Amino acid sequence: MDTTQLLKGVLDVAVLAVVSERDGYGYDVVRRLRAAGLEDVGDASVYGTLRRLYAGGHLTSYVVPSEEGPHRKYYSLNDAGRALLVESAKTWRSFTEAMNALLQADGGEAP
Amino acid sequence: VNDTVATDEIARYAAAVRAAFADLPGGDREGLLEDLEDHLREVLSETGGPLEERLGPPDAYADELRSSAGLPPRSAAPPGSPGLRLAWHVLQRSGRAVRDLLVELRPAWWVARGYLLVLLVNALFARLLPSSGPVRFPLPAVFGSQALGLLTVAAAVAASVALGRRRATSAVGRRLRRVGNLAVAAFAIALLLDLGRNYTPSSSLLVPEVRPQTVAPGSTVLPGTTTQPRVSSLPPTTQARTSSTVVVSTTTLGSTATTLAPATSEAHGTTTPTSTR
Repeated sequence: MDTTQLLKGVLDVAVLAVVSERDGYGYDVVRRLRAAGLEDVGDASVYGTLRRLYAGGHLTSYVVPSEEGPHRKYYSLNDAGRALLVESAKTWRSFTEAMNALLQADGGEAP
Repeated sequence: VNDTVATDEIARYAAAVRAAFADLPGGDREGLLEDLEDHLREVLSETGGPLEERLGPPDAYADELRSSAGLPPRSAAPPGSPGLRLAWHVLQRSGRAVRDLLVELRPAWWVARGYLLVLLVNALFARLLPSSGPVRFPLPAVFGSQALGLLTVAAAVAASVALGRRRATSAVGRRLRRVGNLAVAAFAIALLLDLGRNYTPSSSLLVPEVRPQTVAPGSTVLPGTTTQPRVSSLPPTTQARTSSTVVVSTTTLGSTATTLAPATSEAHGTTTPTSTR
């Protein structure tokens, strides 16, 4: 199954979850999503998603100066973002439960 | 990674992405491009390799960034009234469709080019050296042999396709190729016009192949002489219908006779049929 299609639907929740765990800048979020097992996640998709969540008022940002490199723009969850994460997690769980039940029933009938 | 090389690559990639956002309003564009250079630097320092390897081409990167940010897909719609914009859009779409189609049809053109070239050389020969015989259509004859003609066409098609598949390396080569293509295309149009004129004797380059069952091989035929008895031998029911086809074939034969041997009919009017070509 093509995971890139699946990722499109759940990237928002994944990004929210990563940022809720710890504030992060763009590439840091990419790296952490990959480390969590979402290897197929596209860099541009993550940056775009962060941008959209920020524009939608679910994230706040602040700039952290760094000594060796450029200043980094960190994102953190605000109340709206936290509410969205809770809501999305609920939807995700009921969805996966339905899918799991469906696949289990199907698997029982298969030879 | 060499520092200046890396900076160059980042600048080049970022410029391409920026260009793909040219149609976005300033605020959206700035938002999307804010972290771009930092991101590219991170990727380069992690992978060391070319940016495309990890991120894909800049266009694809820009499209992915744009769609995941919830912005409308790229469009080149000019400002103006909705009607004008729609017309422009339709025009642009159809233009793109035509261009794509032409690109897809390129191999077909290579095949046609090889064939047309043989036909062109044949037609030139027929014009300059009437004794070399008429141009046979659709299968040209080479040295009077259609089997040889088939081989020549096959070889020309193969060469034309091979040439088409190779990219022109120099500007001169490209110009030569363009001129050659135009010449062959012009000839093809002349050929179509000629075919459309029903093989009139005055301008005919081409002569349809003479069928053995209507004309005995090697014999010179005057218009309408052999066809008359055939018509009367047909049953009366089919006669009305076939007579019209006979008229066509008679005129065809007439042009055949005149173009076949425009000189011989006058000079060697009394020669035996077997001595004429």
